[in-house]
Amino acid sequence: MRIYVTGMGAVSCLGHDVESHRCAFMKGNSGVARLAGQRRDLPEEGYGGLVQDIEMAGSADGTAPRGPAMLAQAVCEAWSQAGLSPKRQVPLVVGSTHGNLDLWQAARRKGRLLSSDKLWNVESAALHECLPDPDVTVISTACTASAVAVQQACRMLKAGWAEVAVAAGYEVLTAFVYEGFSALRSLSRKVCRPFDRDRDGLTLGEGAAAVVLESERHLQWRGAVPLAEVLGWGFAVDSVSLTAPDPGGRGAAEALTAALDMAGNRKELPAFINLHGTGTPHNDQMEGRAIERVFGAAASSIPLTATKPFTGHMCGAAGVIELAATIMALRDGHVPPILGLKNVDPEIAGLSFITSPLPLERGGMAVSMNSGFGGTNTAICVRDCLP
Amino acid sequence: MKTWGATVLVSLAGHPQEIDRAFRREVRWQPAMRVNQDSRFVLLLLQRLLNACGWTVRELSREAIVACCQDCSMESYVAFDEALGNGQLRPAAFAAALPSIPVACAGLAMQMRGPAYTIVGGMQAGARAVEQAGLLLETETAKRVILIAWRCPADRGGQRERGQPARGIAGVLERFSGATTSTGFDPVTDVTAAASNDPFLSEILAALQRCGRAETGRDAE
Repeated sequence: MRIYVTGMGAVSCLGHDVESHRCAFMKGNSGVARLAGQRRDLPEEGYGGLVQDIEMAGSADGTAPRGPAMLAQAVCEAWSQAGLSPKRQVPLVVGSTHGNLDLWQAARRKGRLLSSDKLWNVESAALHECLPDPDVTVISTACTASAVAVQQACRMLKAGWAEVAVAAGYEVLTAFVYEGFSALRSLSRKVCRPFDRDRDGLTLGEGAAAVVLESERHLQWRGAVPLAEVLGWGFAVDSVSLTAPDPGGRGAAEALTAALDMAGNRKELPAFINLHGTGTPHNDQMEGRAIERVFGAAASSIPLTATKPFTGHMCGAAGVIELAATIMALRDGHVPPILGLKNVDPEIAGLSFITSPLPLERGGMAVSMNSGFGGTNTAICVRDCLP
Repeated sequence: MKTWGATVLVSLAGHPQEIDRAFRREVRWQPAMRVNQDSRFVLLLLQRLLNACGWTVRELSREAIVACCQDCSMESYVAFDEALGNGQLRPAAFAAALPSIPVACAGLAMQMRGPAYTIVGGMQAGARAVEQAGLLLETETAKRVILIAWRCPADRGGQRERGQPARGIAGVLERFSGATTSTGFDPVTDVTAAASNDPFLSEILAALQRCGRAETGRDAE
């Protein structure tokens, strides 16, 4: 059973659609900026990737939560790109770390209760314009949540539960999350610099992304043209610490190996790998170790990138937006560089981190990787589909 | 004809102090005392499941776990938010303010390294968790899946649900071999009333009774 991506949608500080993201990646323009003057609940001196001007279509009083608004935008863009008309009971698997935490905080300030229903509600009138009455599953596995959503949606197709499914993710940047990472001393003073010797932490972002996944049979039946094929995926748990990754990268290596094994051709090296690359000392070193574990002597020949300096760390949405970025890079024949990387960490200096745009031939295979609190690790392997 | 289902189910209910006493006696994984009540409840429930199956911890190492909860880790969310409101930072509370932290604790305490997913949402999340567990079985991603669902009394906006015990169920889901659907044991009806008194858990029990259809019939075409 072959599975294809036929539509993508993306919302972040780079813009409200895939085209904005493609342009930003091609030009090397980050959307991360100083928070000063942007939102009253976030510290002025901080940096982050905030989504601008997102409105909930159909919301008369403007009190609808940001998360579902961003999600609807991304899902409907993906659905439209796939060329599908509105359809009932499509499986929609969504990953998010904290759901509608902005609503939860607002309710607490007013002494009100917020039920799990509302905290994790992803539906909206805007979403129903493209997916009336979707079959929703929400997964929360920290920063691998939407990568897991992609994997489970793929499994639904593989099991024959559906011919089309949507995998998505969203995350809202709240003061709770910002101050939380600040309390953990995990935030960079400015914009994150993954894999740099002088990296000092992550930069938070927010947004949503979605991919439409379709079985080969359905694709052929309707004569659609796919964007990419999902070749394989992997998931593994470190079981070392609740917050820090296994320094040896064993969990990430296991997830990557599983994805490549499922893809079937271990002799083919990826054209590039889009790493989780948060810019924290522990994560980046762990990922370097994982690449070395999996590829051995060949590790130095694999181009490595990380797109978080463009969008910020979108937590639960990171998996699917970075998968979308990976597919964009394959299709555009252009791998974006790791913005801000000037001096590679000597501990992983043997690896090939991309510091200037890398041209690619079409038809290649690439991997997108993510890791999260609780020691979760994911990898998704995709191939560009030539027209 | 069912192709998979629950072969062992246990339930647990208790007030926080009772749960913690039992946790200290039966699980004794000290780091959970610094996390939250959800984590200790989940670990205790898992230990009870291990006992019911006659398994050691080692047998869990590659099993999948699908978890589902209401107000997951809410104790930690509230603790961090209250501290923020008082101009303080509590990094440990933030680190534990994740729905997936209880499962992560299970991974650490019991060295579980297989697929580990947490499903969230309203009342329907339980049925979704059963489906996701079944998906892992039907795609042969896992031979067995530990399904665990719980609700710990939540402090919502300053008012703890007074007098309410924490409740949960845990079970082993696996594929049935051959054509038989009978194991001589009906796990769903044998689960105690502790679970059936809770609407959230009742939904999960109902989903377990429905689960494992040979033809899932979910194709919208």
